[in-house]
Amino acid sequence: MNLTLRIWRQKGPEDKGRMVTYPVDDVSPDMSFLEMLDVLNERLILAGEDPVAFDHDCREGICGMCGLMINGDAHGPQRGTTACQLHMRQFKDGETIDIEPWRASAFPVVKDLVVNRNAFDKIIAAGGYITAPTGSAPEAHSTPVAKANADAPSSRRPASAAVPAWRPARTAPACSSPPPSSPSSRCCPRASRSVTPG
Amino acid sequence: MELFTEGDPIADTKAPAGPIDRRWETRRFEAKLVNPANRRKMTVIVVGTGLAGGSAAATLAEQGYHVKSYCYQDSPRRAHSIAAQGGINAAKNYRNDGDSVHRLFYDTVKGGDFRSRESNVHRLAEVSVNIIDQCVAQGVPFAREYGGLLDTRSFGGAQVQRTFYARGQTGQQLLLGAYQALERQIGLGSVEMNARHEMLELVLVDGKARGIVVRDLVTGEISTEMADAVVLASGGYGNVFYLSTNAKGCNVTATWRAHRKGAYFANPCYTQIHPTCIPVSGDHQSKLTLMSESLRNDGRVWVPKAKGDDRSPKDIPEDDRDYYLERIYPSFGNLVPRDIASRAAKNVCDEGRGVGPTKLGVYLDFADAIHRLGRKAIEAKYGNLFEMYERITGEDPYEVPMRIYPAVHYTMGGLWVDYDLQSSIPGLFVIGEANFSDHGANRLGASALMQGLADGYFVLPTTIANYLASGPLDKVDASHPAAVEARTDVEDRIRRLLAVNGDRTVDSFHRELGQIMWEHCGMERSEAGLRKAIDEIRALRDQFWQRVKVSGTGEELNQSLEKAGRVADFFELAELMCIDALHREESCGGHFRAEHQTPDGEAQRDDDRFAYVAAWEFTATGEPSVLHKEDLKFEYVHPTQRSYK
Ligand SMILES: Cc1cc2nc3c(=O)[nH]c(=O)nc-3n(C[C@H](O)[C@H](O)[C@H](O)COP(=O)(O)OP(=O)(O)OC[C@H]3O[C@@H](n4cnc5c(N)ncnc54)[C@H](O)[C@@H]3O)c2cc1C
Ligand code: FES
Repeated sequence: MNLTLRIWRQKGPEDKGRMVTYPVDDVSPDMSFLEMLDVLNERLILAGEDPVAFDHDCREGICGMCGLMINGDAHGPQRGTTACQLHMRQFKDGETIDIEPWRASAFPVVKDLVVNRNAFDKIIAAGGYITAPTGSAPEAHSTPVAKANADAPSSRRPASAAVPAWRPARTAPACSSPPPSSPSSRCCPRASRSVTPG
Repeated sequence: MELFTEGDPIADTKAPAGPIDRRWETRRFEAKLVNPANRRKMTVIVVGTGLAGGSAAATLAEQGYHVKSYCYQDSPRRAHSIAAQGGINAAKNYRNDGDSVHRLFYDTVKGGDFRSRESNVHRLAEVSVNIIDQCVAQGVPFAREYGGLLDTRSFGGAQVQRTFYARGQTGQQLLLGAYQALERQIGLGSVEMNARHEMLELVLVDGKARGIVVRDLVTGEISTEMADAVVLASGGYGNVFYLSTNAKGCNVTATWRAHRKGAYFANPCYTQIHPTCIPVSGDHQSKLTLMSESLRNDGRVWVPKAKGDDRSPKDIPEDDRDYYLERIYPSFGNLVPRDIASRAAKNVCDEGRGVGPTKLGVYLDFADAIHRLGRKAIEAKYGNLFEMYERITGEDPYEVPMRIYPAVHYTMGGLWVDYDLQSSIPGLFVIGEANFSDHGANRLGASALMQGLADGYFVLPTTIANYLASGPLDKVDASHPAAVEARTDVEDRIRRLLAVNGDRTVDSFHRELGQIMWEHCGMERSEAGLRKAIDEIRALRDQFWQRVKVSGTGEELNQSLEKAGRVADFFELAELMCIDALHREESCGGHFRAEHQTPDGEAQRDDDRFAYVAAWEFTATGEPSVLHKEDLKFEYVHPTQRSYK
């Protein structure tokens, strides 16, 4: 496949930033979206240009590192799928794809497609935890938890589900991309491995 | 030139004497304690925020120490532990199926092919039960039975069901527990968190680990951080193979830099190749995706009986299929340990019976299970894994069997540690996948999460106190000559990497290194292959330092520079892995030497010559390393030919 990418380039937090157009050829439909960006970056490096910075790590849809806006959609067109799990077979030959950072006022751009998401950790540090100092735990079977609650995806689990009633609710979302626009869901609604019903 | 020389054996591992089930208690009692008022004055650096580092940092802070924590990701909760799918072992015996601490101990020593230290493994089995209690108290949503009690499932290498799980996301849920405990301490000011920081050097003062040099990955600023002790929890080095199931950033830099400063590296050649991963689809491939071992509970592995049978799997009748694991290993069947399942897959592919476009694949078929239990039940158990498979391959595993092939997954080798998890450098402790302890030559499934949390929550916080209590150490700061020198080394190295300005990218070198390693130091190794690999690695490393092209500068977010530093260290590690594999003239666990196999193709150990841990001491770049042997004594589990037939 041959594609045209329009990518947000911004040298640093103070830079204004702009969209830059890059053609990429010979993209295989079996590539992941990030592997397609790898191909572009290899080329940019050899041409002496600055490669596009983007966050990623696990590349299997679980760590939440790869938040990107693709054609205006968080993580791109496929539902329940992170950018690293999105494959190029979802796109058409000749398509133009817009790639932007997943920014918000709480998530300022660090460079290109990389944003600062520390705000999220601060919420957890401020009280998003259960107080269970190491060594203080009772025998695991002392408090049963209903199977339906234990099985519910964490984004849909009732606040009291996984923990006995006398403990504060477990509040950490199961994944960690910036919160989506809809305030009703607490965590990224699209992360591949975190929201499968089961 | 000699590839290595031999030094003094390691005489003392500091494990207490006495009956094995009393040793940990003895150690806990004999370990010195630090008075709570003094703990506040002591700083401990913890590199890594995975299950091992996250749990250790949180626990040390709860105890009152001042902790400085580091990770290269933007948040501690993204450590690679988050990717663990299948589960965590513990000897709870909730199923009343004959499990016990002793059986978990036994299975782990046997699973490791009699190349691990009995005292450590026994402690791991003892502590396993506390881990489950701890995690449940934190709210980890483990799978439950209808009545609300904890559910368990089977994993390879065991005949009891002792694996606790949270769907296909066990690592994520356990890490969120440790992460929240850590964040709580960050909120309380007891842990200073430094995300997006990479450790690039260890600082030794008077022979003791006293600090690290780190690079802020956003600004490029280099700084020196001092402490009373340093803990490395930086994970495994599987990415030396380029393609592996590890996260892209996993690296050996933290442990390799410590190795260069004097910490012994133990058993580097013991790597685990996981039998069930999605096969490579093309040259663009940047990582391989694991399909959890738990799938082997219900999936049946097979290939066509005939070579070159190109029919679609649906058109191949039962009689023309070879369920080779069930055939060769009737008592464990599809649940044989990983090393055995991987090699069996390689063998059938080498015979020309592999499937899929590249012929490097075997089927993992759920048709029987779907027929027996219904699609709904399979969906409930494995739904998210099936979806992941479909997203990556474009094929629906409910309809056609999965295609799988072995891939590099875990590294049993790592920095050598004694019973206290202290390396050969005083004050340097190593926990989790970064150390070599517990798994011998092959790790059983669901035991890495167990080990990481055992080390971090329970073992290290006890043993490090013993070290700290022997202080107080001299006050030192970043202006100490040794600290300044370490920092200058880091700056020079970065300058050198940027200065080459050649014509090949870091990735192209990494890929080529990975191919050499996979070919010669992967599932099967031979003397000729390893010698060839050593020459090729050296030549490629020279090329790297002459031709690599790293863009940008050191004073900014520069991912190409980060990769270059990591790959430079992988080159040095790769050579030591091959030397270790070459010197070990036997087959054991994940280390299979073609020259050493039984008549029916199983690994042939040589206990008379090789029942030891190979701990390597660094001398100088380009100079032979020194081998120190730690003899392994088996008082409780007597080495036998491992059989799963
Ligand atoms: C796909 C997959 C599935 C798995 N499933 C299971 C399973 O079901 N059960 C099981 O028991 N095991 C499983 N494992 C193995 C297990 O997940 C790992 O062995 C374990 O999580 C390692 O934990 P750790 O804390 O030692 O290191 P990691 O979780 O790898 O953490 C390493 C930490 O060190 C930091 N770090 C590394 N280098 C540096 C540096 N130079 N400077 C600063 N910070 C650094 C990283 O940022 C990170 O925070 C799986 C592994 C994989 C790859
Ligand atoms: S890289 Fe981890 S979720 Fe995409």
